Amino acid sequence: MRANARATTFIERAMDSWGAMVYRLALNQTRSPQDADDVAQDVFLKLLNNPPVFRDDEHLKAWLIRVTVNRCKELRRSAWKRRVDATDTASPELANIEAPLQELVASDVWEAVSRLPKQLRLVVHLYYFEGYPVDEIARLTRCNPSTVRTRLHRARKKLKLDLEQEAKRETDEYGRLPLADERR
Amino acid sequence: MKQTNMDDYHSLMSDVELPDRVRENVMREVEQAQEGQRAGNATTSPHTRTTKKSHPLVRGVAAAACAVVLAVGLAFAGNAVFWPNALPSDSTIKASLPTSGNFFTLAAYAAEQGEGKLEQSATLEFKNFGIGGGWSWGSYDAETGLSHEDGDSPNSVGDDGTCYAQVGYFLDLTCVGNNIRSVTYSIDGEGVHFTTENRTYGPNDRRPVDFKEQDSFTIAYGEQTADKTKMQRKLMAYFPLEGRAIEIWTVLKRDYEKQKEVYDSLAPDGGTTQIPRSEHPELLSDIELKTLNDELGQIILRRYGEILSKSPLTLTVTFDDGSTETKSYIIAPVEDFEQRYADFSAESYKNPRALWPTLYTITETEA
Repeated sequence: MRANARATTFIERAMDSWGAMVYRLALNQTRSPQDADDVAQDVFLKLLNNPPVFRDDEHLKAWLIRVTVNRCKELRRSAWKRRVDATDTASPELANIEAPLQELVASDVWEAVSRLPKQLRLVVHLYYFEGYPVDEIARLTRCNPSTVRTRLHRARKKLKLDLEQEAKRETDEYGRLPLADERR
Repeated sequence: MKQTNMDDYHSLMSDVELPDRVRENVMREVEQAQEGQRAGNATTSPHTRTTKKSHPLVRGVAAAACAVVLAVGLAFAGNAVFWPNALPSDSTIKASLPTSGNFFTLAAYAAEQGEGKLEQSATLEFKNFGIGGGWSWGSYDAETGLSHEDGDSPNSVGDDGTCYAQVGYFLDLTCVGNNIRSVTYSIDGEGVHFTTENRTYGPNDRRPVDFKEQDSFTIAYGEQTADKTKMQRKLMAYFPLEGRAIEIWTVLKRDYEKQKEVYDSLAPDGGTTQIPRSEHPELLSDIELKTLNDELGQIILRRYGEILSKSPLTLTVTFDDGSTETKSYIIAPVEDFEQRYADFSAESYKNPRALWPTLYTITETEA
């Protein structure tokens, strides 16, 4: 019974400490809050049912990152994956989710990041959000550091173009707005 | 790409938390699993099992293998976790304490020992010390204990090749008592200090990290819970590795370098997630790797306790009436440290979910 209580405590505290990290990464990879829910749940259940021995908390964190990324890959491959438009804030599912999440998925930067290929999205998230250095990302994703640097470079380039085009489109649309005088 | 755009991403993403519905679903599954386990324990005889399973040792090692692969790679990384809201919730703590007059104690001590038992040791329960944190080895600055690692970590300070161990655990420093205005915590020992990190930042976050090493800090009594939510506070010690620990460290480091070569040759583009060590005789076997890690862990954690035993932890409380009182505590390894650690190591082969045992005691001493 004591072991059970410890397992419960372990899972609760793992979710307290790393739940948001797992969820955000799942969100980055799946681009769908609903799928991110499923992935996060699966990851912590895997932690409950089949965890390795963790030597320290960095080890646990790295394990959670890898399992989350792998679970997202599995989800993409699965035939039954639901198709949800993550940016459709009017959908009933999204309308019911938390405000910060709605704000994120409605933002230009989210849209631009979401358009990146999944591997580029991953390195962007690990680098810019989680703050991992290139070498650590290489270890976590089993890549050469040079591969990570290339992906980061490509991601920056694509994001820059995307966001600049977005800004230009907004400017153009603003420029085309009819003036009050013209309407009269 | 403008930095402000990624700042937007960072800012918006930072506000996203694990939804309560996910947390509730997981905990529901945990409860169901435990109920199932209880029911199974009550009704299933070992003789009725029909499922063929591999030897527990093999299963345990196999489960640990892919993780250990990464653990060695991360051995130079600083510890980074926190277990928030770990306040002792036992109502028995307060029930055993005086209800009036100026009074205080460290809850982790009172939880087991109650009040008025000076010089008697209490085991420092795992939930109060040991559940979060960990140990690592690498090259650390002898003056500060900070890790020597390349990259963007705030801990980057260079590399002089000296191998140190760094151990840090979250000690539940919750203070309980009457009429308390504030509590000052102090630690006095060589190579020992508190580390404090704003929990809203990660250790590798690119923003300036509010990371402090302190020998002493003060918290208002009424803000202890808020402080736990916001700050990560560890009791950290760093010390040079010697003798057998250096031998193990050398072997593990060499193995990690070989393993990295194998990764680089097999997965140049990140396609492979793990290496079966049995197929690579140039690498340590899973069992050898775990055995060495366990042995090194035992040496390091024992030494950690020995260092803490020479480093009094002092609480000085200021009461509402302006008066102050000081109490000192000593943390030390349990007498049967080696046996407990060995039992845990053996258990972790069979049960990868085995949690760390209680390895330390706490004793209130004359301030």
